[in-house]
Amino acid sequence: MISSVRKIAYCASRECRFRMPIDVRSLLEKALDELGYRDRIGLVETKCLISCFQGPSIMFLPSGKVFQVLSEDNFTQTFKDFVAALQHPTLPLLGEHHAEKEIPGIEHLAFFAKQKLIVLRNRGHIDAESIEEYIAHDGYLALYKALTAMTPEAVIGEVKLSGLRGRGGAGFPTGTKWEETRKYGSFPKYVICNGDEGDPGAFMDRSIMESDPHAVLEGMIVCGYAIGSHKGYIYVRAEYPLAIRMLRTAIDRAREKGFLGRNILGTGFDFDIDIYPGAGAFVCGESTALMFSIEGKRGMPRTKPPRSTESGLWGKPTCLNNVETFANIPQILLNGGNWFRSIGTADSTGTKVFSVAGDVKNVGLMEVPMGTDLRTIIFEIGGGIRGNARFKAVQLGGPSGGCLTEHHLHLPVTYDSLHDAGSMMGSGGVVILDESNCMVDLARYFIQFSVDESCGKCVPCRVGLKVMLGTLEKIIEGQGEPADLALLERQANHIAATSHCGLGQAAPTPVLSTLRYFHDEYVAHIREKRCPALVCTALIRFEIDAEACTRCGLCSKVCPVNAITWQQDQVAVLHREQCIRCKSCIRACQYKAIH
Amino acid sequence: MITLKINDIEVTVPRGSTILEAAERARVFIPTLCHDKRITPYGACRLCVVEDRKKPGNLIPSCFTPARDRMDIVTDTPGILEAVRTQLQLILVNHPLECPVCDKAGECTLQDLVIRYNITEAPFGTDRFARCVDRDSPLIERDMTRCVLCGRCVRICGELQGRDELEFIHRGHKTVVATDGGRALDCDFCGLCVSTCPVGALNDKLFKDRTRVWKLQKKTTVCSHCGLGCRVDFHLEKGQLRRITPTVFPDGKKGLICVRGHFGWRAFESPSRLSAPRIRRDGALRETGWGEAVGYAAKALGEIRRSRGASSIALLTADHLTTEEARACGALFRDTLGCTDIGSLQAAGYRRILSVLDAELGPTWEPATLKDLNEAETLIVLGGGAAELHPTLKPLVNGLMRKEGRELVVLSPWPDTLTRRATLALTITAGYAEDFFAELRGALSAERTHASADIARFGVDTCGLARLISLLGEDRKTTVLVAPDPFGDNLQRARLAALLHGRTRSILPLGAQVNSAGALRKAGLSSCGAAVEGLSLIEAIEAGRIRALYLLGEDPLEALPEPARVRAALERLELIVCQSPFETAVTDLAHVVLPAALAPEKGGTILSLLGFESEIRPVLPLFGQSRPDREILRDLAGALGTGEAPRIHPPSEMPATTGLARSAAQDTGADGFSFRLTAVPSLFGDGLLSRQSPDLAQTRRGLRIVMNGEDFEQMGLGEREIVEVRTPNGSARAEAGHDAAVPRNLLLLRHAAGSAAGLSLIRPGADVVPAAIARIGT
Amino acid sequence: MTIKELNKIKETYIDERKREIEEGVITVDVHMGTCGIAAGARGVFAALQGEIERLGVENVKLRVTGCAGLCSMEPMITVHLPGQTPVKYGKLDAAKTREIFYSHILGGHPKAEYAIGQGLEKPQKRVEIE
Repeated sequence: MISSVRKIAYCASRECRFRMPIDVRSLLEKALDELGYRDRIGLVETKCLISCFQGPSIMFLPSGKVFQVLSEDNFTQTFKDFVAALQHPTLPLLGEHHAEKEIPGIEHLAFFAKQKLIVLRNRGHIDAESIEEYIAHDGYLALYKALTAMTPEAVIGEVKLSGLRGRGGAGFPTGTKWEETRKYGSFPKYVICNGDEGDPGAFMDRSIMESDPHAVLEGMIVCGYAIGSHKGYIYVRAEYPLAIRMLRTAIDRAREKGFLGRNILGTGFDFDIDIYPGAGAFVCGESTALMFSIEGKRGMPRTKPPRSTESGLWGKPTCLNNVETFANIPQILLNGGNWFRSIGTADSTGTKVFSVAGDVKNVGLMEVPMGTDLRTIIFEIGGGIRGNARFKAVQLGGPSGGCLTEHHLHLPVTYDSLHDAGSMMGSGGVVILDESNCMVDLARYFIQFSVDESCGKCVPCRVGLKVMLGTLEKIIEGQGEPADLALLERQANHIAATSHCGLGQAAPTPVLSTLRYFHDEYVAHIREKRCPALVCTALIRFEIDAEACTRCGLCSKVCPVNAITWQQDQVAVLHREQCIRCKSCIRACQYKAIH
Repeated sequence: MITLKINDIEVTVPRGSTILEAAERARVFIPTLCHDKRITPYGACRLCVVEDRKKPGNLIPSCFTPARDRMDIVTDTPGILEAVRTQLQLILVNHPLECPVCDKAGECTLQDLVIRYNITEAPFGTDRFARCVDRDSPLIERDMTRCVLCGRCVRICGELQGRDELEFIHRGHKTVVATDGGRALDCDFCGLCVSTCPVGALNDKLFKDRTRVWKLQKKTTVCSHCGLGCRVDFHLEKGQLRRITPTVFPDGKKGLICVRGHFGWRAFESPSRLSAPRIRRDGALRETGWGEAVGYAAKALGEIRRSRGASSIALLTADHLTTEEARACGALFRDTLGCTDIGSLQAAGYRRILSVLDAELGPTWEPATLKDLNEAETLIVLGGGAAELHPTLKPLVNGLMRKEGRELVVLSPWPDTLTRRATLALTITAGYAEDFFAELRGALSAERTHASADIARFGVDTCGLARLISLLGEDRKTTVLVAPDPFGDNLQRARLAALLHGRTRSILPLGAQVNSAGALRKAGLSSCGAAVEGLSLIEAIEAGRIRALYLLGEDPLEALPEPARVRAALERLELIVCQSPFETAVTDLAHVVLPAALAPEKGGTILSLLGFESEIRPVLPLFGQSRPDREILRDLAGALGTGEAPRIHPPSEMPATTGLARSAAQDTGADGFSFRLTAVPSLFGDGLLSRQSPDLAQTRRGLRIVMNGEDFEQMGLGEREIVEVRTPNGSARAEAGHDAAVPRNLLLLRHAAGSAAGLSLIRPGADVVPAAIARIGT
Repeated sequence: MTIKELNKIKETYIDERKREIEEGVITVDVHMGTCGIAAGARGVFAALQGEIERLGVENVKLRVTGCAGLCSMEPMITVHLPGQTPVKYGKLDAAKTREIFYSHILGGHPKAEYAIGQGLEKPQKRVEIE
């Protein structure tokens, strides 16, 4: 047992009333000497360990067990008794260290091993509020290189060479956008970082802003240098208070150290950044609506031409990029465009951060090279489906993306590879769905979101989506008619083809893709008035299948209104009059005996 | 120029045109709902979608997408028709089917499109919900339940009128078009929103529920409320006027209109309309026949001319005479009778400025035209109230300012509506405007090469001034507008304009009445003698030199300060002849009253201040026994029968300064006058015609003073509270209002014209007087 | 800010870290992104803070860093003992954190039952190891 003791902490507090009469330290030293453990066990002096009721306390570490020293007489024997009293069956004896072997190395864990960190290279590793830590990890070296050793054209050339495309989802070549903004001769020009991240379930940008805000700042300053701008804005949604705080601190620190403000790094280049919090509108993630929002106007997308690179914020050339896009810039400049190009695929270079959520084991952020297939993302890095469930579908790109089935798991994820399958990579939100999800309900959820967030400018999105929502609700309530499917499809195609901005153009995608791949689920809802996934409450009959029932009685136990009666070894009986349709029994039953 | 095909029809359009414009050129119909040529395209209704054969299946909205060379556009594929029909069906989901009770029926774009595209089903069901209805605002009714959210009213009010009164509230399917806080309208009431609304959501309250549009006959003419000369359409039902709307030009673009032209037409039928000639007999005015009335007037005029000389007869004209009538008037009074005192009160400012310009620039100079306004890269406005004098100037200028790089400079002693949109607003301390203009003129002329530092004492921001001077120095097409101060001298701004003519060749004097331009430039009926200006005329009457006053639509009692003194002077006259459409204050003192026709009831030529000549024909029947001025003048000439050959007198030389002594700025602080008061023109019209409209009176609400918000708060005043205003010259009750842009301790007096109490506050020749306010009951 | 000053900051930082190793300073990173906070990382931090103060331990440095990426295992901490491989722990609460404190942080013995893995993700490294 003694071998499991590493240290002994003893209270050296002056206030301890028991200290005076007993010198614990000398007692311990003497005991350790006599027993020969002196060189193996360290002594730690601490403040009060625990209320001492009968005598001064000593704590054996690492077990944390505390003993009180009652008398000095024959302390060595007392000490041996203490040791015997230690019961730590889990800790091995001296010489056996397989406890350390039990902890796997990170490199053996698929979640970590299969990721390739560029944007997230500092995640969890640096104190985001410390600019010194960022600098120590090669921070602001790219800025230094750009401002002192490269012309703006050279910077743009490197970004173009890297093949970096907009990480917000549209995938417009970043270098080309910078080049376009540079060429317009109207001043002042603006750099905007789009941190509005409105997709439900997406949190890549939030993480980047919270964990490594300086990377975003550095990317923006380099952009300003490249296009000839002296002013940047970061538009962060108001629902990200921690990100706003981190960015504010980062800006303050950067200003103090001279990375923002006038004469940056002594090169004569001025640049400053302000944060503009949003006000709760998904549509303000659309770049022209975002710019109106900063101008204090109503966030509604406008007609184009002119494009924002020519006439954006306050009618001036504006370069708007996503948070992740900017966070890539420092690494591209330090390691070269060719290095970036060597990762990913030919058309989609570099890595992409995905925020994976839903019914997977490993929920979190995954940064992988472009072109990684869905199976790797979901089943290797993601660790597969949680619990005993089966994979049903994966939804990419938030409310604008379509769902994909197990037949698509082999597809690589890039900007263009998923279009034919009716989906898209989007900004990186990935939601995994198991069989406990109803695809019709999922479609309704996303359409509801789009209806709430529609700005209301154009007819198809404003009215059409509401009509679609009405139809979906009708189906879910059990009033669906066979003609509804054709109506949904017609509406969806119409809205997608004639809407004014990306919100409306992409909003019907969840409906179209679920109709395409889960048609029979819709049919079940409409024709059989049944929800196979047991989600749509109106379509659940709340009947116990006598044959499937294993008579375990679990359902009866969980029912909050005692609507299920059960006796030992009997099939449970559900009394519909009392049933409040809360579905607790369905969730509890492991044998799917209720439907 | 680029060439493209629309439905296989080849058409050539200027680069930068939209596909919609190209389709119009090719005479191919493309449905639109949210499109109005007066404002920038919006792309909300998605009805205008077309396809390019090179990219089939891709629907392009044609209203804002630029046309490109060699495009191959089709507008009638099954896919497009399906999209348009679906769009209409979606719009109808929320639209109440109230056609039988909706005024818009018959000219409703939605109705027309639904019929054209044969929508007979509602496959998406209906989801009607009530939205706000505003029946409380004056002149304009808003029924948002019918609104299709096309955004045209929001855009026209924001982009052109600059009021931003209507805006989208909430988002998505909950969007409504409303005012902030859902209050009643409190704007310029120009009615451009009503003119643009494609459905029956915004309605003209004067027209509401009167008749159906297909019973109306439309006649295009020129508005007669001011001299800007906007083309308008009179809509008549069996000869009765039912409403006025801005005209639609041949290219399909609707014109602009203001509150007076749009909603002031019931002035034509005002109870104060004169319908029969009257003569003063036994101390009272009695109705009589035309022959007797004209005969009496001719006899009286002849006698006075014989006994006192021709110079004892003065003529005042409101310039609502057509050019032919003005010529006849000049021939009769100036040439035949030999009158030496001819002028105008309502158009005094315009005439003054024009005469100074004529004197300094010679007879061959021409004022600027609409083309000069359209092409100007810099617009400079000398003086305040330009868009109050001619309200349609505001949407016109705002429209011009949409072009990149345009500058609007306003030099004004008070914040008028153009100041808000100015790219460079220079505020001059009230009372020092003329001094400043004189100083600026001196600085710009060859004598000095830089502005004097003294300019700071006029309150003008020196940076702004430097910017103005640098703008003048740049090679930019510049047009200068000169806005007269209604009760001031206006000499210095006119002289400054004359100087600027050398650099810009483009000067536009403002303040004209309906045909001031025609009277002056075509008919030669210039102001001369004492009648040039109100005060000198009164002085001449008091001195006994002028014994008779011939008033053509003018009323000194409703236009001049010191109404008590004016009344006393008028009472001394031996003869007052009122040839006017309306009975006003002076009618009581008149000896002969001759009811005259209004412009819409006459035919002739009218020249607008922008140089546009129109041939107008009568669109309304004559009122009662009133007759067109030319007939009255002809009969008068006949009755006078002087027999002498008409002598042509050249228009008198305009003296460089008038007899009007510039009053020294009166001290404030003396006798507890803590404010300074200046009278400003009214958006709702200070002219005779506008003041007779009961509907404009509703929005006008009588005498008003506007002060800075902090002054308002300090005095503890409530919204629209009536207060007592006192100046050394008189006192009056006025409704108090506030505006953050008004400098502290300044009061703007509105609607003084026509109000004896209001006019009593001011002094002739002083643009600013000391004033005090007291709450009533204190 | 010149390149010299920039490098100086980096050098100073590295020197500080080296000094910490010599002095046997133990660094504990508490991952407090919004996900971590939502899962209860503030309680974990408070527990560590509390024990450090209570025992008067002076060689433990607490840092707040951002999300470590594996959100489903939040709250997470990473414990760096000088000379040992850093260990990531997950799904913690105040009680488990205290156990780790005694077992690993004070005792030098990683608590395997709460550990996710050991080591740092590429390209992360301890800066003192250049």
